[in-house]
Amino acid sequence: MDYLVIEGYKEAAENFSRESGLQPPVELDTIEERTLIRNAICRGDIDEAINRTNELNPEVLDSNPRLFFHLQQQRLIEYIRAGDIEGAITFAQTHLAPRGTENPEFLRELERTMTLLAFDNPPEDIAPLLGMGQRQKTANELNAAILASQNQGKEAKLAGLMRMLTWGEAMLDERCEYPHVDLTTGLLGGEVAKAEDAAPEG
Amino acid sequence: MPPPTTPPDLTTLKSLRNQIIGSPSSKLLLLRSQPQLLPSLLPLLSPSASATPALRLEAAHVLGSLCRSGDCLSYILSAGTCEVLLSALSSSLPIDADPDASPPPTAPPALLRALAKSLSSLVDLMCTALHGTQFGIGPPSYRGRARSALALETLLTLPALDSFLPLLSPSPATAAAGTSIASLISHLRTQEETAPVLAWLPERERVSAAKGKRGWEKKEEGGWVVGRLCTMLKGGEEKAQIASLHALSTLLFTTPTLTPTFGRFHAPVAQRIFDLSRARSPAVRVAACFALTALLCHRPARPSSLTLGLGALGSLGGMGSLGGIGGMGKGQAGGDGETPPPSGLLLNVLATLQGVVEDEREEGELRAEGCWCLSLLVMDDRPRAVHASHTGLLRTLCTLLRSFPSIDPLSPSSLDDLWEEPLPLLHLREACMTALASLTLPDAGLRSQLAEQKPSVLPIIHASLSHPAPGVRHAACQVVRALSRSVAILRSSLVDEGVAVSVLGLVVREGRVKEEDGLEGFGIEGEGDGDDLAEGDGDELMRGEGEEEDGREEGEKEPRKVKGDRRVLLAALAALCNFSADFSPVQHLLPEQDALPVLVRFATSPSDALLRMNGIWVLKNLVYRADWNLKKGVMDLMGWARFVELCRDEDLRVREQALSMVRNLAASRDADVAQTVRAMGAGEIVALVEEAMATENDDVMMNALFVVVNTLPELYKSSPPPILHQSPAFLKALLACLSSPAQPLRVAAIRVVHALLQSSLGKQNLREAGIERRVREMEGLRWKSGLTGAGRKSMGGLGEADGGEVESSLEVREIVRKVTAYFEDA
Repeated sequence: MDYLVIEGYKEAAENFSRESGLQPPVELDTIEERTLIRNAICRGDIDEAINRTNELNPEVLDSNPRLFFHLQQQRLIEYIRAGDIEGAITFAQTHLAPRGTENPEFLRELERTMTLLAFDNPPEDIAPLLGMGQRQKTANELNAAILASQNQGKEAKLAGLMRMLTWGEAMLDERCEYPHVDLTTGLLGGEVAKAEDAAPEG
Repeated sequence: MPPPTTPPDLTTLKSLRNQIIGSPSSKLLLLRSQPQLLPSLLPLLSPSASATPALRLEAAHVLGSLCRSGDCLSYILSAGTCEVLLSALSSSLPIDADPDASPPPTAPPALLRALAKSLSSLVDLMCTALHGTQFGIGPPSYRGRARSALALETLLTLPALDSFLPLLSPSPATAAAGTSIASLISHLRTQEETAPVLAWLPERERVSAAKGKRGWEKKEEGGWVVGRLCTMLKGGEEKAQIASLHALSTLLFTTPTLTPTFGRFHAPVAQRIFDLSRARSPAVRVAACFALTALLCHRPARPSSLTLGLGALGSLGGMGSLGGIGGMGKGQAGGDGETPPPSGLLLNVLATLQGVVEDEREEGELRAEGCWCLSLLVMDDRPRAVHASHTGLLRTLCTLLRSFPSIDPLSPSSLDDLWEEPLPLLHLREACMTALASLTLPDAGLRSQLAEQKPSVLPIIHASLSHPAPGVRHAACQVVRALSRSVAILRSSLVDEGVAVSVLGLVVREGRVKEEDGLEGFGIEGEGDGDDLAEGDGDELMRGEGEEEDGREEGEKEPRKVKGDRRVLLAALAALCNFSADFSPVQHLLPEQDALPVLVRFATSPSDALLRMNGIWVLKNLVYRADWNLKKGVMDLMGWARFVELCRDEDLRVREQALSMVRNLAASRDADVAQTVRAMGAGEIVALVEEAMATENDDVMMNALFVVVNTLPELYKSSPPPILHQSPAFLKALLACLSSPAQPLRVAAIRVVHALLQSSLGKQNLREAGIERRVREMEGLRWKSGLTGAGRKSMGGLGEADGGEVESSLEVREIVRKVTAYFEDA
């Protein structure tokens, strides 16, 4: 359930909840909201993402100046991507400059983003700002903040368990031989072999 | 957006919400440009025919966002927001309902939550305006103090408490709002503020309490609010746990008498807090450590009562064998006595907090919180500081200090980087150094360990004095002050590192801003309480030495200038006190570097008592054992008349230091005594002494008595001679001082008696005033041996000096013997 909620599989979470009788840790409608917010950022509609986030919980952006700055930075990037230089400059002056005054730590990042305006083909160090990876990064940051506001972890516990399992196996590998867990099937190494042996040859 | 003339509709409110969320400047701009906004918004919070639940919710969201910005506080309070919020919450609660019976509220949970959250944020702003930030010096805020005090007074009245404390009830419908109310409680700072909350009862219980009880009913110790906060801890909701843990620690810190209830009635809750200090979430762990720290800091002093009062805590899992929180006994006073073994609870808190502070993956703000909690834990408590050091806290903090980006005050690019340091890093720097100062202040051994760290951290602390962030400079001053308490460290490590020059430079620079320009920092008395909705932000700049405005190349970037900050100035002055003492090899720097006029200006500052006190403290140390030329130089700058005024200062801390300075002026050489008495006037000195004795303040009286001791032979050479020895009020006060539990005061008093008799003054008066009898009591051990413990206590605490203090001091015994001889001499 934790994995389905955090990763945003609303329908699967609903079905799992119904069939297993488990109570979901959050209202499942918020999963859909989170997905919509993430999608809005991924398609570059930052206004929509901000409005939806404020609708969901007005404290998320008000209590997280860094996240809010990154969303505004993403808006500036979208202006630049669309070639709206005048709009970009106006937006930076009215919305981003005050953030720099309030938190000088943002100034360098703001300057770096504004540098995009100077190049048709931005240099390597700032080019990634225009990439899809930047949108994904912003979306992930906002997603994590929303999850935290709902008392949810930033990532599914399952991922942590998998990492711990891999680490544990690596540690054991140095000391002894034992049947490994095959992560693709969820079976132990020996069981995989047995299953393969038992399979009828075609 | 045009100013609304009618109440805003839902679309307008949503647009406003999106416009201001995340942007403090937009919030301020909105309130400035639309003065009618709040008057039209606030009525929407209360139920009415026109205010739909959706409209009310959105209005609450807009207000909640405004309440997060300190700049908006004056506007919010002047619109009567606090009262409106209370009324809106009150009308959302069921009438005459019992909160314990989980009543259904009349408003939707989301609206209740939004209203409660707004109120909590507003209380946070008000308490910050009144008392400063909870941890660290924070941004200066001296606007809205008077209005905040008034609003807070209203908030803590019974009808107001009735409108929001019931939300702490265990009802699921009010759970989210209850979390906000717990946060609200955690924002309060003083016992005066928390007492009404602790005393509050639901109306039904108030009625039954008024009717009287039969005496056998089970009584909930600690009050209803504590009970509900404890209940919140039992649930699994993380935010509720954090809020209630912080609220409980606030109540425990402000109300020490609450601690024993956690060893009795609330013992299971103490166990729960202990368990939460090992929770998965680091934020919960830190919050639990705050509550445990409050319990540790306010444990009852006597081991016997600890055994009784906190027995249950002593049996908490994992710490029973170590004596629980009652493990502390003697040695607590900070002497050189043996340090008792640490309690399991203390070790648990230390390990948890150190784990959080050391974890580099953790957020800076949370690590800083861990440092602040550690700072509270070891502050002014030598045994806890020593135990913390044994568990590696000193090493942890030094490692953290070394991990920060380096500071090079001479490199412009380094300074540029420092200006742009993220707030969490700044807070962590400040918290780390403050924790270091708290840790090393109570123990000379710990100070030596810090000074001898390899690789040395002194260069980092030294460089931090130049950091543009006031909080970092302030914390660095605190560490320097702590270290300079050890003469050996002051004379070697600190002088070698050049710290004294930097501290002096800091004092001169921080104080260069003219007072009328408004020093940064809150708490300045007098004009400009700051409640005006002024447009200016008072950001006068302090120009550093050698920084020239002119002569800059065209297009060259203007260097950012560090603002002066009163709180840093006070901390730097406190550090300078030790460097100005006679044992300091850099004492000569003060006159050489033209610091005296600045220090005199601080010492005579008409509007700032703390500045006066710190300024005069430095000068007092400077003139101790100095030659008359230096003394005269200081007094010429200050003026004797102004100095006499300081000796009558209404702030007793200033008066104490001024009288102490009289002592130092009239010391060392007979000529100095004569010059001082002549300059001040014998009659004036006597008047000052009599006024000081009337204050009944130990420190003021002690210094006044030493003024008499130092000036006495000279004092009576004036014509007409004074009649201090005949003053019944003075003699009565002198007798009281001889019986004072404070040893320094007894020493001062016996020396005055000796000086009077040596000058053949007032033997008969002293006899008649009962002083001879008192001196004879002090003479030998026969009095002590003949008294029981209770009897000794009746002697004003002298009995507590058993084995040491006045009676064991050879010098004092000698004086008592001489005084007795004088009395016996026909």
